[in-house]
Amino acid sequence: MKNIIYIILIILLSTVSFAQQSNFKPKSYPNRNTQNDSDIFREIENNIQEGNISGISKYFGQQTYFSFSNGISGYYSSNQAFYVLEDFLKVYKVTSFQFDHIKNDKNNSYATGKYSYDNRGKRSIAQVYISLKKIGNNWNITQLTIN
Amino acid sequence: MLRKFINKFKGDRKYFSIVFFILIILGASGIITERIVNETKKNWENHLTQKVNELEISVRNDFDDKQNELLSKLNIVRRDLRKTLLPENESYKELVKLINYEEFDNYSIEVFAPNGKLIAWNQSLAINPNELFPLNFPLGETYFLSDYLLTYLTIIDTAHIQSDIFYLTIAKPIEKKFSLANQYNPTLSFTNEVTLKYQTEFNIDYSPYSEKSKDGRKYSFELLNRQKNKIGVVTFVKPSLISTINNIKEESSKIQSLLVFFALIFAGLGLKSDFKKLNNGILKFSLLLLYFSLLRAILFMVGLPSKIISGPLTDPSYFSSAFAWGIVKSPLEFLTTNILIVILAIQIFRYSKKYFLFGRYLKNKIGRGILFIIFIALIFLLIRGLSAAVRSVIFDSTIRYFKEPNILPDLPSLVMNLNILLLGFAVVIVIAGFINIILKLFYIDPDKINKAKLILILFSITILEYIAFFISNDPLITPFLLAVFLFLIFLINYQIIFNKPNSIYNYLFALVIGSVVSITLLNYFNTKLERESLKTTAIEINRTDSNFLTFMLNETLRSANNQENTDQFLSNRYANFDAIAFVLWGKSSMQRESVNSGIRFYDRNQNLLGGYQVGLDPGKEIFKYIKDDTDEPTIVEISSEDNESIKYLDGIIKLKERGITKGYISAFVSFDIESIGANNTPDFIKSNLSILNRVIDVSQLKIFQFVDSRLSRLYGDVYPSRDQIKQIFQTQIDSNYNDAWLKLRFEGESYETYLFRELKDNKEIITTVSVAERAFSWDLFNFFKIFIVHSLFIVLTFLVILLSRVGKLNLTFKSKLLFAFLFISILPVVILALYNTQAIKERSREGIFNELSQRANYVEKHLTTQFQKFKTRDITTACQNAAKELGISFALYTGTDQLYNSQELYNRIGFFDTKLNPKTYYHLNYLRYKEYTASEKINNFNYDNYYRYISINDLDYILSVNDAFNKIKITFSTTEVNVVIFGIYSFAVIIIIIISTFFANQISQPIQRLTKATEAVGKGDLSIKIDHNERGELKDLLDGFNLMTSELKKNQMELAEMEREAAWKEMAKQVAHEIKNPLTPMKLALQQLIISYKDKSHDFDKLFEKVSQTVLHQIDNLNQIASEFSRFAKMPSLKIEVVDLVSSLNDTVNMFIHEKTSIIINSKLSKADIEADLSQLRRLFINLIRNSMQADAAKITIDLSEAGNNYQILFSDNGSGVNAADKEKIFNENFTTKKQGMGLGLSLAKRFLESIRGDIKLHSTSKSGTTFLITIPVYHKLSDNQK
Repeated sequence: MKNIIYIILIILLSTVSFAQQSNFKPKSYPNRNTQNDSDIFREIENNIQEGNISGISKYFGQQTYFSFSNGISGYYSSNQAFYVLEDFLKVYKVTSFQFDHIKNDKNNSYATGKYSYDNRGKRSIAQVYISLKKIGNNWNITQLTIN
Repeated sequence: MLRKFINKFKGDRKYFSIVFFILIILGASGIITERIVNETKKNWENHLTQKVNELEISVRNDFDDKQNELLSKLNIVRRDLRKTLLPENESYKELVKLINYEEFDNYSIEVFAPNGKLIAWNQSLAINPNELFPLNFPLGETYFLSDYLLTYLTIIDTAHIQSDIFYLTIAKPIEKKFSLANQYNPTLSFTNEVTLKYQTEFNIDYSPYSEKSKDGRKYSFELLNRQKNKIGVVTFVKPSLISTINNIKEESSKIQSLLVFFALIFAGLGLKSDFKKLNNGILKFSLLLLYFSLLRAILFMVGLPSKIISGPLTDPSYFSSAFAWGIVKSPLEFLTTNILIVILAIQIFRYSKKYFLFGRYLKNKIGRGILFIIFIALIFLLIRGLSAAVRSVIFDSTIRYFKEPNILPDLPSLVMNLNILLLGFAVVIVIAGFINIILKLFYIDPDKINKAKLILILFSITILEYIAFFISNDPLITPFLLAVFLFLIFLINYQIIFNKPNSIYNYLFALVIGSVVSITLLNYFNTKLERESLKTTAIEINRTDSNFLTFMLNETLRSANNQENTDQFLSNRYANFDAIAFVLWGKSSMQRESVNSGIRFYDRNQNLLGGYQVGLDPGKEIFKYIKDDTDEPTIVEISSEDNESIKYLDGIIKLKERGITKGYISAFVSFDIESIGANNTPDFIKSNLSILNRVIDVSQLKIFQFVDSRLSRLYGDVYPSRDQIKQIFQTQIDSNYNDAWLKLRFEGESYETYLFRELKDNKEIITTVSVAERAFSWDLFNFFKIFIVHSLFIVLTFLVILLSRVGKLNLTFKSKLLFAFLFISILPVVILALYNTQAIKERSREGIFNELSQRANYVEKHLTTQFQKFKTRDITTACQNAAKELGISFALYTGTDQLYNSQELYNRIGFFDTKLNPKTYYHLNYLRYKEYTASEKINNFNYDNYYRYISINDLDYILSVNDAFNKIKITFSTTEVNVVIFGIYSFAVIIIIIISTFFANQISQPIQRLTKATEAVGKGDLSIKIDHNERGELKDLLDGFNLMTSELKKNQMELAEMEREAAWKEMAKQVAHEIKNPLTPMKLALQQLIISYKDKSHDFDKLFEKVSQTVLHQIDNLNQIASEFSRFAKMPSLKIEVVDLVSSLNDTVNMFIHEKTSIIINSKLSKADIEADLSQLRRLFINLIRNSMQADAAKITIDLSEAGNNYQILFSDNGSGVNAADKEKIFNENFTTKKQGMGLGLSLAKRFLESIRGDIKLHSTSKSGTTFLITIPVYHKLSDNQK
């Protein structure tokens, strides 16, 4: 019976320890440092096309600014940004996405593109603006606007 | 072992049958769904026709409902009109009053006199009074009336009063054409309503001239009014096969998810009774943990409850955390998880309490040491876990808990507040439970508390938690908060140990502590967020660069160019371009970003047609840059004409029709530090979604921006000194993040400052954002703001507890006392709170009135002065001068018509009416007020408008000044005052509830004990004595009772003695009498025999035989007499009946409920029938309990169980035990170790038990206690055959 007590305590300990985690780290991406901004824009483009949020969220910084045509507007933590974007892409299902302009810079790059989507059978096109900022060796998405 | 364990779980058939049934439906639902899908595919054409028909009918019905609603209101107005326009009423006063009642708030009503003059109206006017005629539609028929901002469902009708015909119009907005991203502008759209309801895209053309769509993918039908006239056309996209199948599958998946949920719940209920039978608390908890983990995991996998409940509660922007794969990814998911956590926490608390009170001590020292360390670690991790969760609640949410505008927040915020409370409660009771276990590890006996030892242990726990705090890299809590946290939890343990361990009100107490702890943490992390918001502000300033502004303009211009009808408007010289520009601006990202911006329309000759702009007023420079060879937007950076340092981006695009330029649309935007907080934009227009507007008051910030070490821009009222600039540039900047934190001093006050460095276009830009440290709002106001909401949940819990115990309470003396206390104390508190709120509201209104009236004074004085100097000046010019020079927004009316408005643009757009507010008209015109403050509304934005009669140049005007455009400061807002008042009073109410419960317990306890003792006396127990420490009348009462019982007992004993003596005497007489009877013949016979022997009679042998016979016969008689007397002296005859052992034990134990000795009955049996004499049985238990008490036992445990055909009772105490020498004698008659005992108790008990085929044995005895084993045969009811 004592063994059961210890097992329960270990389970509790691990559960409670798990609760300490407060910052969301979706996955580990070791190659992130070596990528240049153009590669990142291409990767983001592919991930938006595929609706792969994890592939985009790895570039979210502590605070990411979102401004979407459905009224979403403001700064979101990486935890929130993941689900806010997931919800948006669920409702406005992407049919195609492509950047039509990319401006590279040493520290602040941005790209604009067209986001074709299907919302309850209604097809439409939105303009997208994404800006990246280099913090240390990493590029972070600072802003994503979909109008 | 495992099989044995599994065998215990046989389950409840009733519930398992339901589970089985659900599983069958679940399986069948998959097959049915597939069938429906195939059927739909096969007969798609028929399905489509049917579906299209259904949609048409449904939308027609929805529209008819709206028509009927409007008609019913029209009838009410017509009735009011007839009632108020009777000849005896000389004015329209009553009519104006009636149509301005709250029930018409969502309608626009106008009443015209027979001469066409508007005589009564309410709020905004849908129909321009000058444009009533010619009528757009036949009288009495509903039709759509559209302007640039709204479409109304309207009816114009007449009312015949005597010979006069009055016209009345009623309109209700049905479609809002503009959108603004803020909380004041809810969407209003019949199109959206039906689109969402029927899950297909609708388009409604609100015109009788509109045509049906020719697109084959769409279906159109005409909207008809009640007279069957066409008033519009509805078009919707026909449902596609794929979307229909997806819908079917989605609905099926929802049903299946619900079925899985119910199956799990019923499976749990089915195992409940078996689960209850388990003895091992740890095992029970493990199974519960397993069940709830499984339940949560399955709920998460099937998407419940989010799949069923949509809306703000599932919106991740309100809260979302990636914790545990997303089980708390929205407020609702968080709540679901929390409910399960709370159930588990309560179980931990219950098991730990039971272990503390009745568990066995752990003897292994190493094991105890390891467990102690583990529990210390667990407690710290739980505190840190709660902190991490609360931090996430603050940082991973857009809800600003302390800045909610209303005292009761909206639903997502309310649910998040509940989440915080539940989490705090769960952690508090689990930690309290762990402390219970730690106390047990240190041999703290709940019955004999060693206070010094207890304090030492609690002190050690505190010290060790502090050690854990200092070891931790990021403890997420301050030392002070940790101390407060531990102290409050120790209070719960104190309550368990010293007061009532099993009181349900302990949970209420824990809830209050959980609330205090969680709000304190929330407040703590909110200050962190406020600090972080300086960082966000700096990022925001640098985010909005020329790239983004160019994108914004490009996108706005393209979107405006693609807008339907834009070019058609250019052909209409009466088109309202201000309104069109406003609608375009509202939909663009310029509104969402709340930057200085605007949109303008120009004709082909570059003449301005109209536009909307905030904070920026550019000229026509943009036309210099327009190129002939492109149709793409032209965007350039332009310097302001007035101030070259102010730059803005201006863009223009040609509007072409068939290749010919018909006009231009220009959009312009600028971003400056001054734009932070969108100060130039009226509150009802600006976006408040930006985090900047909500975390910290932007007006308190001081912002400096340096470009290449030179101050380029600043925000706030202070310039940085040379020392401050030096300090800024000497600050060590983090090379990775290019930022730093420092403290600057302004006017002797310390300012927390965030420094951010950015490299743009080879220029180094340094931005600093500072806020006074005192601005970080950690105060009681914040605490009460949340506590009000928590207190509602706490009071609700209290009421639920109270209601659930109503049956048990049965309005006892205690409950009456509690209700009396609560009533007496809460009632004045509520009255006081309401009174204070009302008083403060009055003061607040008075403050607003004074501020607006003062501005009206300035305007009046300015206008009067102008006319004194320039008598011929026209009133409009005078008003323009006053507005410009004073910087005050105002309007001027002559009669009921507006003459001037300094915010003319909003009039032109259609946001405001040029007609006087009807309530003001009523008060000034009919009630003869000189001044009046009206509460007005634009959508959901409430503001106050002050009106006053003024006289200029002998002409009367009405001047109005409002706080929608004039920002006024009042000491406290109504919400702030409400928070303080209701916050303090709700805290007081909670404290009152706790104190009232305590006092009600204290006062009623002696009475309750007296009641129980009286019951015991009634049942024959005269040994009862109430120990107490009472004073005054209660002391006299209890002492009197004790004296009465002791006297009764003494008298009873004396009486018994006398009775016994009398009985003995009587018996002796009887015995003597009875004995004498046979003795006489014996004596005579023997005397006869002696004489015969002496006479040597020859008949001696014969006589000897006869005498012997006689003597023997008489001896038999004597024997018989002795037997008779023996039978007579026997115990009274037993009254054997079927008795429930469980209730008999409970009844008996209840008699001792107020004794110091705690008596616990442990039994899984709900009923245990035996055959016995009830009074003898009770006497047996009373004897045993009394014996234990006399042996100084503090605790008696009675374990009742069933063993074969017998019930076994293990009667254990922790008294002084039985001496080894006495063990054999205790059941002997007349054996006793007590001074006053008769030695009959146990012998009688044994005799009684034997008489009912039972037994009693001394099971074990030592110095630490004694255990008796009692066995009594189980009563088996005989069947009729056996009978």
